Amino acid sequence: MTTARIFGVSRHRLTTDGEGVTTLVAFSGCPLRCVYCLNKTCWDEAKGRHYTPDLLFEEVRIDQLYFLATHGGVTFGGGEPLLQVEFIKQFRELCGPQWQLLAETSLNVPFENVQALDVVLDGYIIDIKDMNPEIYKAYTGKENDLVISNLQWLLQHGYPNRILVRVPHIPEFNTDEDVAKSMERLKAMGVTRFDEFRYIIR
Amino acid sequence: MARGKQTCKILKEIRKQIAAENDIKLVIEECTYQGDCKGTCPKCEAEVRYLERELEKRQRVGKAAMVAGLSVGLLGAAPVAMAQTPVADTLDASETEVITEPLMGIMPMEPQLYYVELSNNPEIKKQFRFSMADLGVLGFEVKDFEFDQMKKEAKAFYAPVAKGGQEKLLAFISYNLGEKATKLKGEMKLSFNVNTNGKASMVIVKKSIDPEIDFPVVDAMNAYTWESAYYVLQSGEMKRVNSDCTLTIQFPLKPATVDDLWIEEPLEGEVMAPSPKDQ
Repeated sequence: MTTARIFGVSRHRLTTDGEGVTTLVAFSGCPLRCVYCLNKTCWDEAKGRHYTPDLLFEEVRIDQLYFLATHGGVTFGGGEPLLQVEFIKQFRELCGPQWQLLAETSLNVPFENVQALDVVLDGYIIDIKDMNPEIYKAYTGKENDLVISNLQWLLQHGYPNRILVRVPHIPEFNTDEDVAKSMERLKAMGVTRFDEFRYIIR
Repeated sequence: MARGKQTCKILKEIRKQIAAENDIKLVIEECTYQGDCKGTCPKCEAEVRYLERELEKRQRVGKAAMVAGLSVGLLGAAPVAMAQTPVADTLDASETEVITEPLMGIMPMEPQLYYVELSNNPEIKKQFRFSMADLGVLGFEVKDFEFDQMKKEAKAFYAPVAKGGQEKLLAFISYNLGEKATKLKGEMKLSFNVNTNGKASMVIVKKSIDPEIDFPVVDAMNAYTWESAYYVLQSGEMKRVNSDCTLTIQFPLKPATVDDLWIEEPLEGEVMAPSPKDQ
């Protein structure tokens, strides 16, 4: 059975990252190097505790009643959860179809990963950062080509209401005008659900 | 931990609903625990296990377990709703405006009022401190020794703010007082410290409105979580400091239910939070 490094499991999150009562599972390993990242621990794939899908399932099933009663479940974050394709697929087999499984993702992953998990996940919370490639690169250190093509594919092959796109105002990296442009472009692509917010720099 | 208590209350409601819908006898005693609450405890967990066992028994004799979607309404319609982070816009003190229309229960307090640039104009900090006192809202002063020390190396100062804003704090107080909060009339004054750990201490009733509510209000203040005061240093680093505050509460308060208490915010601590920590 596959294993993954997980640096945090947080229970009883109420509508903060998904409908109902959810448990957040944070994977180690992230392709981005966001300037304001406050969880730099997750950059190191070697950090965190080893889990198998079985072990994780045994740990989080303690809240099954709450998940079922509230249409909640598990939100995979990180780090970048879409790098853990096999793990999440095996987890779905263990938990069955009733739990809501969401991924909070940058989508900056190979297309094959997105495709493989699309039949497994119930929804996505997508950290888009900024649609402007220069701003994206300045802030994350990476190109955003994959993000946009993966998002486009999800919108064409899924349902827009399964996708929430988070559009942050990032101090010193984008302006309100940039954010408005990002949202305009995302709307043109078919995104209907947004979470616009502002990073607090401390 | 206020948030933990709120979580506990909501989870308890879910358990009650499951029990009621499935004719399971479940006696839930009021929790009297006064310390930090993480939203659950061995007693709460035992109730969940008891419900599971009872549901299994029912299923074994051919009865359906009524659980799926039972408590969706309890948490509100927030599919894939993300935590909204309060925006701490920078605002020069010279540009602040006092809002003249008070909110019910408390004098107006805009988070922006609690930010001041220290480096450009030394007069501002003096103005700022006095202006807050004049407002009589949430007057505060940073302890002098820290202020004197910090003003040389800090470029900005953020005052303490109740988690979720003052309306949430009032809702929390109102919820803890119950019906009485909506019937009293007058002004209550408190003084307290907001510590760097985000908790209030030394809560003292400076002006009482009804002795019966003094203790419950102090208790509520002790339980509430704050965003503690902090300086932004010239280097860009943040330094949290203790601060002394006074708070004036105007009664009557709005009635509050559990739903009014919930604050959407990222998780603190070692686990990645969705916003803004996962950036």
